Amino acid sequence: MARSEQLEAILRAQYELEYAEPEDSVQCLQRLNGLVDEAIAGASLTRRELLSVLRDRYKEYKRAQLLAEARRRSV
Amino acid sequence: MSIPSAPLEAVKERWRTVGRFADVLEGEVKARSHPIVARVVSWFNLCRLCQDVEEQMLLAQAPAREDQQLHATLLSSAIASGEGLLLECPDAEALAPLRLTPEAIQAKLESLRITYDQWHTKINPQLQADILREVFGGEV
Repeated sequence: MARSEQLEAILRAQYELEYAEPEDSVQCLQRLNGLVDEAIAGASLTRRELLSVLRDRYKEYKRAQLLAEARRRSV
Repeated sequence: MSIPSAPLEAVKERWRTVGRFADVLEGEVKARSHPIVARVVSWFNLCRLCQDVEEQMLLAQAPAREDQQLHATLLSSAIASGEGLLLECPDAEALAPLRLTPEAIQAKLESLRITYDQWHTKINPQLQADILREVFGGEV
């Protein structure tokens, strides 16, 4: 997986965890953890540290998702 | 020329309402006389309220400091009350009527903690850029 695809997959997985139905949240967290673990393999970083540095990317991603959802609803 | 105060007042009133509603939900989560399943449902509603505030902040041009403070307070409250619920959850079967396990609460808690870190902790921009470059290379 290209690094940009890996980044996109992490952002999507965090978004899915945030909006998951409660019964799906365990599976979503496992998916996010798996993707983050792949990304930080070999680096001296924790999962939380990587997600913390992705803060601006994630806010941009989430905002875009919310706007897209609002547009879908208004059609 | 006077500054129009009505919209600002309307926003403040909205946040006051959100704050009061959050207080009610938090009280229900902590009410030990209530069935654990009812308390867990109230907790997930409290989490949804945090999310709603965050969505409004993301869609606003520039979120006000008061909005940020409200968001931080709501998140802290949801994290603390979720941790309390987990401690009181007698066993995995207790949440079966909701088709949930304590791990589902753990997963939601982790999501809230990540959100808190991303919104309400400081980060060194240079370190942030260095880490992004190290992990994702020049593609980001």
